[in-house]
Amino acid sequence: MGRKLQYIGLSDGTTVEAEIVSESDAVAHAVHRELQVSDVRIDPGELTMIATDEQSGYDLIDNEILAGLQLHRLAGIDRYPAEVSRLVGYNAAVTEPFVLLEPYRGVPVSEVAGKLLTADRRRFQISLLTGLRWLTVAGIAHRNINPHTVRWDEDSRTVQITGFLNATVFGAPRQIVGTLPWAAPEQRPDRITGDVGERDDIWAMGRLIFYVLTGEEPADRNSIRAEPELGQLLEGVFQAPADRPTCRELLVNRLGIKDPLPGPRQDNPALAKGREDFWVYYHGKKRQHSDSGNSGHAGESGQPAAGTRASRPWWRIITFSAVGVVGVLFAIVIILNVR
Amino acid sequence: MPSDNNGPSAGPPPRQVVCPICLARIDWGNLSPFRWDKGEGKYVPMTFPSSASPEQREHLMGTISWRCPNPTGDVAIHFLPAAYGQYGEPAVFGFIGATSSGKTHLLASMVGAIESGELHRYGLTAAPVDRGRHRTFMTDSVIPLLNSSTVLKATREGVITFADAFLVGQGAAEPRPIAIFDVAGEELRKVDDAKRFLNVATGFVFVVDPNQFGKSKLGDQTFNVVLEILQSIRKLDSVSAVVVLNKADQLKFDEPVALWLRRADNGLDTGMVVEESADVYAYLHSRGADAWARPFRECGNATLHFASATGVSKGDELATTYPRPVRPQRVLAPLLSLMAMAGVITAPGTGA
Repeated sequence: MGRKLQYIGLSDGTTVEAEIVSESDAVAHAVHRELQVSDVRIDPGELTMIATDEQSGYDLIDNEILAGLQLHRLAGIDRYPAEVSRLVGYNAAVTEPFVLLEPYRGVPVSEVAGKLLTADRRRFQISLLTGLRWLTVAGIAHRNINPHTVRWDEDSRTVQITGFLNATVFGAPRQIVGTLPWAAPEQRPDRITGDVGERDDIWAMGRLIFYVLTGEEPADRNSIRAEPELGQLLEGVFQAPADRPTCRELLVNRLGIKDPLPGPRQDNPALAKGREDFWVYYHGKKRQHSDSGNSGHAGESGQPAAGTRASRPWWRIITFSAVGVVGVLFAIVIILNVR
Repeated sequence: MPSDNNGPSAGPPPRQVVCPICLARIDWGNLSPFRWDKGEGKYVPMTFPSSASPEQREHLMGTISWRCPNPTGDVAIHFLPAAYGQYGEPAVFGFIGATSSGKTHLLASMVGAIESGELHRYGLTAAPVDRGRHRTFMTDSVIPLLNSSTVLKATREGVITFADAFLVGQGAAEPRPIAIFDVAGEELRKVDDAKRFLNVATGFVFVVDPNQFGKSKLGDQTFNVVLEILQSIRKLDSVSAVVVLNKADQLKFDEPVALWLRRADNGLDTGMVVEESADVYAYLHSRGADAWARPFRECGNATLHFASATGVSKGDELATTYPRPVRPQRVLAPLLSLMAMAGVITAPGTGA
């Protein structure tokens, strides 16, 4: 009998017990009784390359889990988009954390760059932007869009965005992440400023569209404008984040596609009610303080301006022991015994 | 050698200071000096050489303690660090929470952040009021937690004294002492001595254990006891409080915890402190844990914070070490906020 492990399954949020029945030295494969196949998609070699002073191996796995959960919360099981890889389960509370993902589809787009059939060129653009639109509405920035994390499935003729090890939520401070030359300028050393937002992935997405459709990396803006199919679509995409078009603008206004996800994601009603209650108490306290002339409240400045934040965290000192930790995520074939 | 048992004659005139242990009002500077004798394991009388230079006196001041006159005699003999009452009015902070809340770990992580110089980032300085006591706390709690990822023992029953104390300075303003109490969770409900410090305390850190959500609609009983006592002595309106949702690492995939754990400490950015407070309050509401936010609603000044003293859970209840290296998250922000509300420091632009 193989080694036992437990993970939290996204299908119902319960703890699932699994048994490892065989292992190999390749990257990850896991058999799931109901979903057919699940992959453990963390490659220690990949982590070694992308872990930085800013993010440990533990952080990277947390990023993949958080992105998967956010998408699951948005899409559920029935609406889950084909354009994004899917988290099946995870366990982040153990010494050797891991994630289980549905197997990826297709091949990395690096293998099809410059080779897409004419009929598929527009489908590729729409599918990539559709995937990105789901991320946007889920409040997730991928931060590592490149020819190896985006795949093209010839059978369904759709894109699949994978590899969320660098993902984060909107509003988090920007960090040095991503893969050069695909990382947006605001993710590069000495260029870090402000918080992550919905336009951060647009830069890499634009570069990838150019690369896949032409087979070449853009030399300069003139080379983009020279491509009749791309000049208009990518206009402004390589500007500073605030000046870039949003994903929705690209899909709806430039590609003429109906937004697959109209409107922003609704706030959790319980959180919204809690915030409402907070402000009632807060303003009541402010009134009491003004009546009594007490100015000693740390929060006298009223509701805050968005986007302000303090300097970088001190604890960002990363040890890379976590890479060793995820080294266990090699090549497991497991049959799951649902409790 | 000539000596002067009344301590240094130079320096500011004696002032009256409330002893946080027995609540006696003491004429500070008119007391007998003692020093901690490590070999004997107790305080021993010391003499203050009258020929000592100002520099020597300053050094000695950091090592001596005054014996409190303890006029009512209903509390055991106790000592206070000399620097405690030498400067501005001391701020007395108490860590409140159930035994399982992790307040000892939170306090150790905060002291670790102070020790590593984190306050300098906000233009603040901090020096231990009692170097011996500070070293003991470092050796017993901070170093084992942060360097060896050791699980600390719960606050000992019956121990009612400072965990540590610092002299906090900001720019040219006179430094202010802060004394921090870590009182056993169960203690507050049983021992009158433990309640004594509530009478002089100026600020509280209410430590929330999210693992208790759903087990009771009444919240943390230690919170309730403290609030009831403060109400009975008419201090609720004048005290400051921070409600710290500890063990936030266990909630790191929940909204809006995920975002806050990815942000830096708010420091003295009051706008961000209020924004975070709103999110913590909302999160508690969403988990049916409104009762744990009671200190925010009832205390005169209050903020709420997400924090993780360790950044990792110990997993097995009986574990003696954490399975990964300890990495505290957002532990300094609550202390900064409390110091600002208690008037120890000034938060720029707020008048606080």
